[in-house]
Amino acid sequence: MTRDHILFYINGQRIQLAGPLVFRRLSEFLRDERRLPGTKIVCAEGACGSCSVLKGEMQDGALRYRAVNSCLQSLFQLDGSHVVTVEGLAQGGTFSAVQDAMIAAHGAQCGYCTPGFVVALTAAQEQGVTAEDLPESLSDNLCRCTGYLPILEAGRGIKGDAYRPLAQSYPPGVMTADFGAHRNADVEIAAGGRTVFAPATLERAIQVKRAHPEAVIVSGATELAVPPSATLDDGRVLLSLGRIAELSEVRRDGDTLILGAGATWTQVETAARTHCPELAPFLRRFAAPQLRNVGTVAGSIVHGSAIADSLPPLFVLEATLELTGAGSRRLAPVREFSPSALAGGLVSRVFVPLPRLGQTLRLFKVSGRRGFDRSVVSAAFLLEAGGGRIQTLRVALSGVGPRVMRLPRTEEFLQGLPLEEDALCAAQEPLRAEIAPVSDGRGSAEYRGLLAENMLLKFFHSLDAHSLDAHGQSAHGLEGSA
Amino acid sequence: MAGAVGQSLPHDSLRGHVIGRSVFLADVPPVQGELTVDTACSPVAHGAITGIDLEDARRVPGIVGLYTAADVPRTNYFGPIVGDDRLLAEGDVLYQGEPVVLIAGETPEAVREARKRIRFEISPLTPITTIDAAIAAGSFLGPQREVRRGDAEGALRDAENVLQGRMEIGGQEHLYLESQGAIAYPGEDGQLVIHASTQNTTEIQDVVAEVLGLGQHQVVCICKRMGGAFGGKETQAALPALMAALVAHKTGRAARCLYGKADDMRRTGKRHPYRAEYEVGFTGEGVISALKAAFYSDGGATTDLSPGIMDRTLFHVDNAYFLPHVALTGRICRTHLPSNTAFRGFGGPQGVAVVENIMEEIAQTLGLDAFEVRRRNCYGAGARSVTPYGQTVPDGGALPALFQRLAGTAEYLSRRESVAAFNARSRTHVRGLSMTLVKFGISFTSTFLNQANALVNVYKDGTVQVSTGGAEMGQGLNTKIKQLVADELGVLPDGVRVMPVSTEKNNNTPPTAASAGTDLNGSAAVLAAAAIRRRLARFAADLLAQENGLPVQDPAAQIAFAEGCVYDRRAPERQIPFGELAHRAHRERIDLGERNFYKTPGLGKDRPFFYYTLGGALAEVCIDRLTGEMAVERVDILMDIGRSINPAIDRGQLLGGFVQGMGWVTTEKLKYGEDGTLLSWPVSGYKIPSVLDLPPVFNVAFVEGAENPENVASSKAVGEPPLLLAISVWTAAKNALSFVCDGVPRLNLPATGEEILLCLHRQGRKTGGGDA
Repeated sequence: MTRDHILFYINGQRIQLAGPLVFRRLSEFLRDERRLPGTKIVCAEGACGSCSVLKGEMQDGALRYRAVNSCLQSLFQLDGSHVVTVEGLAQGGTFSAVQDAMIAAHGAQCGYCTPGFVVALTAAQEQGVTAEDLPESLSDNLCRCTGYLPILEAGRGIKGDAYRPLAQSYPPGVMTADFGAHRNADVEIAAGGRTVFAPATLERAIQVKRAHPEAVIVSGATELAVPPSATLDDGRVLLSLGRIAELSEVRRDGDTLILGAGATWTQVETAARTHCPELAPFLRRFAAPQLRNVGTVAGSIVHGSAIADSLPPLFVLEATLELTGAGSRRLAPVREFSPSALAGGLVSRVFVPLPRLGQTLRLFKVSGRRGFDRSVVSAAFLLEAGGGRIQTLRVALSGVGPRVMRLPRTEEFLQGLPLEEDALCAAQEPLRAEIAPVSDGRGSAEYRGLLAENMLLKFFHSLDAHSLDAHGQSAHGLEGSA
Repeated sequence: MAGAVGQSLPHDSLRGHVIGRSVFLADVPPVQGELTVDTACSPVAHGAITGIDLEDARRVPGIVGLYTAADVPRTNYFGPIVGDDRLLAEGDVLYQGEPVVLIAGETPEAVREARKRIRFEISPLTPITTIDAAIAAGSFLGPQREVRRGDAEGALRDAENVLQGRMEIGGQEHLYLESQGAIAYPGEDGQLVIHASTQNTTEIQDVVAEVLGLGQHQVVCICKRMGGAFGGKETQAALPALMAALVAHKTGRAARCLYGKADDMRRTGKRHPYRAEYEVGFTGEGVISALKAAFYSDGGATTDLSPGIMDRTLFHVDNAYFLPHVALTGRICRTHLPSNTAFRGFGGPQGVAVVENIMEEIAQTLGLDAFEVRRRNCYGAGARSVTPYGQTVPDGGALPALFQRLAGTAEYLSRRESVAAFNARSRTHVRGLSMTLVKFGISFTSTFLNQANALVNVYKDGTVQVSTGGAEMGQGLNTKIKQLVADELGVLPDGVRVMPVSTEKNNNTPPTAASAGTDLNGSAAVLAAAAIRRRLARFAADLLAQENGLPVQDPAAQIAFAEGCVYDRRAPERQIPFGELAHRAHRERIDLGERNFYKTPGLGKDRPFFYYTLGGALAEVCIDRLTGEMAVERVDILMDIGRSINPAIDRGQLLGGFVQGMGWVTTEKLKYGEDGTLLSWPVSGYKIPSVLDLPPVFNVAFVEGAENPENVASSKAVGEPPLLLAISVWTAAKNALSFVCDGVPRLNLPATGEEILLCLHRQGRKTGGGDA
């Protein structure tokens, strides 16, 4: 069963689309084709939140709305979803509670970032974000005028009962029935010399992959859609995995967290709160909400950036990838992944062994800006200690070489040493010999080298409660959750 | 009766903003036949153009025009002060991203394709990309600028203590969210109407006329609103406007030139990076006797506003402090980078950063508390109230009082102790606490710019339109003007609309800049409204005298305008709705429109500034000694802004200005390669503060009961000064580092994590508890 078009809704209006427009970005489509210019395009690279819209997707039979950057969403990724723009929030001349609160709190000056903030505040309402988590939920959105405080005050000023959920403004029945009736069909659209496949099953995706080895695989597209990389815009054949339900599972099986390849980092973060509390705050700092809402587990691993924050924890936890081909499944350590491994198939799942009793996981990230920034250096440590000695200490670092790396010689050096500051200081020398930091726009080689060395001490101090004043601990360290 | 002035009315565009219905330039639907305009830019910072090959690009379907400097009708050169900016590179290229070829096409795709197919032959020349290299090469823009008083050399020789230092101060990308842009519409007889995102409609009118060889009367420039500007659209909005105008002029078709953000960041100028070399003499009590300082700014490729910016630096080195003997010099370095330009503070922040740094260094050298050093140096009464440039700081007690009051409410002394105790205890973190002041001079230092005109039209139903040269960029100017005019006419603010800026309505206007938008345009609007009110008062006096059977005495005193009604004070029960009065006045052929003019009074050689806006901020920071990361934990601000026209809008300016300044002194680091390539680019590569950078405790207050009677509604300007208060965050970082460093910490600005960690690496004592 195949469809030659996509089906989605914008502000309650049904849109069935085929032809070359399906390759366009949602932000441009809204502005140029639908006359909905409230959605502003500023950076066009997912770095400012100005083009945020709400994307409602089926989850447990209902539409769940999350904020996404419309500049990173190609229309073919929207099949089966309901997009609500800033124009769709005020209905029949009545402003939403969020809009009223923004007015009451003087939450805008020039107004260019405002629609994005209204959308992010609405998403926070939809998800029941607590007052404490409100700033984090707005951290994808940049404002250059207000200093943010009035916007936070607006968010805090929304009374729970004043907010009317989107499910009331847009009764989901017709949409969910429509989506349900079309969800099992594979989508294939050829237009303007390009083809996009958006299959409904992993099996079909693997067939497409075999038939079109050159296909650009699109998952969340948070990297692919960023200019000037033109992969997404120049690829003749695209294979979009976003419709495959089986790829988005996240569940715990014994001591293992099983992550579907297409699980978003938002899903992982939610699961981590229960199953791996050290990981959750790290994931919140890893990426801002609009990116976590679409970026996927496999996308991050396959992209394999030298500063991928996902990789240090997966490296020290010795996570395993499941690669699924036609009739075959094989496992490989995440650490050993290289793109050539995808020749015969696709990443289907990632198995993450959770820290066991007696193991201590610590994660650190240093970035130029505290929120919503790529790493300069990030680090993961997994310790097993006993009798005051380090039995094993696994160490992984990003940002200090061409790829994220484990540090086997440093680990070997530390094995059996007393769990004392001096031992970690002494390990700075072998660590320095193992890394090869370079200078770039985010930091000099010297800075990165110092950070990498100091990560050993950060780790040590995160263990020793007496060495840290309660205030000092809260300043930056993600260790606070331990 | 409560008027509109003093009320926290919402920004007049706020409702439109929150529902996405406010129209910005990019939201204007294209007209039929409208062309897209972009440029092919220089890939190198400096070089001689030996060839431009357009043949391949010409063949791209949909390309309507390709223009080089040779195609510019009258002059390729323009500029606010010197006229050394140019529309298109000619002979050589002066910075990476300098436009060389203008491309006009039917679609953005055609323009993009043509851009790829244009070939330049440029023989590269060695670019100057740093202040160091410019000084070594003697590459400067304009003459040295100076401010001197007394005998600084002699006083330094005699000084009890002398401290020398050098400070590198980074620039700042404006990052207004709406990038530069303009749309030009051709009219009859060579006329052009240009819609631009600009702080300076008049300048666009001027330069378009000049470059195209038109009379200024043939060009209209309109600005409805800007999606942020911060100084970046004072002069540099002219380039995209010229591009669109040239294409419209050549083709007779509408032309749209909107920069993408990434291009905007690479092509346009920023806040000037500075170097300061200083020598300061002071007593054992930390009282300054002399300051000698040499400032070097990186002006970039052309003059732009750099001389005015340097002047403001030299006028703000004193900040809140009396400096008996001064010798200040300023040189503008010419480099091969995009020409640096106005940015909120306009050179003031760099001057203030230097003197506030000096305060910290004196304190650290003498082992005194920096707060105490600042207090001892603060402007006071009598001889201690005169600035190095001869202007008296009135009410010399205001600054020390503000200082003391903030120290009290923010509990400086007790927190000083907790910080020291924390630092003695913590092995991994170190805290700092610092208070800085601001005394920001309000007025354009180019005196002729301190003028404005306003047009007020009352319609027959009593509603009012106001037009000025003051452009709305989010700062709330329109709302404040609305409030002022509403009160002058005694009508409700909803009955007043402030209209888009257009050179057709308001001629020869200054840029909306220097924090003076409301002062100048609001004053002119009040004068115009007052003239209409006087006319209506005379008319109403006759009308009501007849009805009430009372004689006409003094209409101005006798007739009241309030809450949308007009009445004779002697018989207030008979009220005429303002709309009815307007209607009847019109029938009696009374003029219901007025254009009026305002110029700031009293400015002169020893008084460059009409008045000063004052404030203070106390910042507390916490630094992670292992990573260099810094968190701003608490900020307390107190400002004297006179009597606020709109407290909510002024609070917004204060918060926004402070956070923008915090970005400048912390995370916003501009980086260039040696070849002049911008590395801190695009938005993901340049870190303005996010919501998570806000101090968890952020107290802001205005001095209550403050007045500024010479200015409109006794208010003070508020746009720029709060930005300078964020220097307290930087000095707090320096203060924190002094607890754990050997000697005075050598810290440049911005204090990024990298800057701090490297400072700790060079000078820091091993982690293990501060003993300071």
